[in-house]
Amino acid sequence: MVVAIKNLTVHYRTGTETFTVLDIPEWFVGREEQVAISGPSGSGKSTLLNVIAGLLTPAYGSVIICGRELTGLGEAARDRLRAAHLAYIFQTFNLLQGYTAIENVLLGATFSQGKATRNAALTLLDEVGLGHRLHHKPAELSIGEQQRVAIARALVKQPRLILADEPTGSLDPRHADEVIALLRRSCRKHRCALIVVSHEPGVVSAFERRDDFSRLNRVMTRGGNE
Amino acid sequence: MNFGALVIKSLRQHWLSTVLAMVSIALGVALVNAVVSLREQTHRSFTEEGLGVDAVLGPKGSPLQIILNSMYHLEEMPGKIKWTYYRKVLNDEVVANGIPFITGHCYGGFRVNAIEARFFSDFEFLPGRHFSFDPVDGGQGRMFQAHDEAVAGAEAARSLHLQPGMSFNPVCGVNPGGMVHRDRIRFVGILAPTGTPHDRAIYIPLTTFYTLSGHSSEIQEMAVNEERREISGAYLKIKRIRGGALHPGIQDLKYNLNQSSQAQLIIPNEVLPQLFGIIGWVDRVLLGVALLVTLLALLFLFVALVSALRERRRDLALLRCLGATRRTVFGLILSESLFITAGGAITGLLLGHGLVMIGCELIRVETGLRFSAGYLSTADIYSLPVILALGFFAGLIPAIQAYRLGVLNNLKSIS
Repeated sequence: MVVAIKNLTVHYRTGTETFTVLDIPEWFVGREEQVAISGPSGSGKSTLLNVIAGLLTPAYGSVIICGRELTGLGEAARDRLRAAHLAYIFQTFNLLQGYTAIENVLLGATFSQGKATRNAALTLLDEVGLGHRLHHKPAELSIGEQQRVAIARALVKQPRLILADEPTGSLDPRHADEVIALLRRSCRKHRCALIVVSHEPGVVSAFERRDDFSRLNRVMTRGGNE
Repeated sequence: MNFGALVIKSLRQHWLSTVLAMVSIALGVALVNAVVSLREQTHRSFTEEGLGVDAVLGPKGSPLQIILNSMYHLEEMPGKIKWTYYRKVLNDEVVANGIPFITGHCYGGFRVNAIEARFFSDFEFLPGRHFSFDPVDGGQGRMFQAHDEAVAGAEAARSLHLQPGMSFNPVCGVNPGGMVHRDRIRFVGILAPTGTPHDRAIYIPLTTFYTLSGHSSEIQEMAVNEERREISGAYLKIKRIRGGALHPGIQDLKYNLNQSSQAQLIIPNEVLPQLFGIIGWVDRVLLGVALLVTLLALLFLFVALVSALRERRRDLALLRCLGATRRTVFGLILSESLFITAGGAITGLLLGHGLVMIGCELIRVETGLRFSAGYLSTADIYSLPVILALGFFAGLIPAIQAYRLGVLNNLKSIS
């Protein structure tokens, strides 16, 4: 298993009030498995990805990522685990504006234990069709090209799991299909699991495993935040 | 991409504030370095070396004025002393040697002093060092022998393009505009550079002074009548006791002479520190200004780092998301601060030595004192560690802010 979640509860605090945003009894993702999570906005899909990435600490429950219990780890250990095994792809790509495409890709492996070479970054950029745009900065790339750089950045450190939060949210349908196909193909090639969060039916329908977050998160089945 | 590359990349991204912070630190350090170096070299030159003179016998008046006139060719001598009195002092048991001189003339902006020829052979311009005319040392010609011959110091010769064989007319008074004597005096020697104020003087024979045309008959008579002869003063060499220390009897001699109404004995090493007491505030103010500039530069660095951090919250949050720990981003900001301060300090040290080089040249031209741009001052030793420590503190608060940065908040605000 790459992800094993049991009895997960996540709270948000606003002033003196506490809201429960996630309540998931059980959820698993196998090695090299590709999962699409669908659900309405505000249903907690991104929160789940943040918990898996170790950016949010759950109130209760067990979250095992790549064989390690996340809830028992300190922040630095979670950072190291994220650096070593996880990669994140955002809706807005979050490329560093001052860095070229190749530098943005290399940055993806800067904090991981493994040594990603410049050659690996070049190969990946070639794979995503940007071999000719290595030294272009994000502002000089189209939206679709920026997302491809983000995919190459995610893959460069050879992670065991890629988390993609609305990766096609900024793309038109044609480019969205292309990016999802590229992402799935690349994950298969590099043998890493993929969790894609999306509210776009076209994206979700491309996956064999489609999890409806409205059913997964008991907060939603109970009718919203508590 | 390693940690160092990230630091450099980040600095390059904010190159303008990086360069401005570095330049302002460099200017501050350069000023501190130059002020401290020139101050220390001046102090050492005026107080420690003593220019080879143990004591000066001079007329009544300001001891500091007499020292500045006799040893640095500045100011005017406040009066004259009797030759017979000088001879009497010369016979004192603690006095080893004496060289009488007369000041009060000039040529081309340089002082013309009348002095005995022994000055060139016996006088030590620095402890243990005598004048040289040897071309190997940079000198030319020989010491004067006839009454119409002169010797020029190295700087005077260089500045006035003097060569042996050329001649000049001395001017009465220490400032240009006085009566020009009709006597043509021929240069027969140029002294090798000494790095002392003696490089800035022209020397004529002692008796020549009295016989210069235009001087009154009373002065003319002094050339032959020792009873009536007057001099400006005399450099005295005092006998030594074991360990090279001055004969303790010098204090008795000084006391006795200072009780008289005719002359006084001045020990340069006792008087020159007074000069720094008088002008010390100037270099303290300069040093204060330089330190203020440095502190302002560090404040600028702090402001630059804090404002850059505001722009970089998303970037840093993204680095955290990519796996950078809190300590990594803390180290990143602190390293940038240290890099800027180190760069500024090193540039400042080099620039400071450049300023000292310019200052040395100006001081050499004005006083004849030779300072070195390569002099290692206290500022050279302490600048880098002190500035790095201050740079560490300037970077500490922005680094702590970066450490505390929330990942999700700062990524969410953009997406």
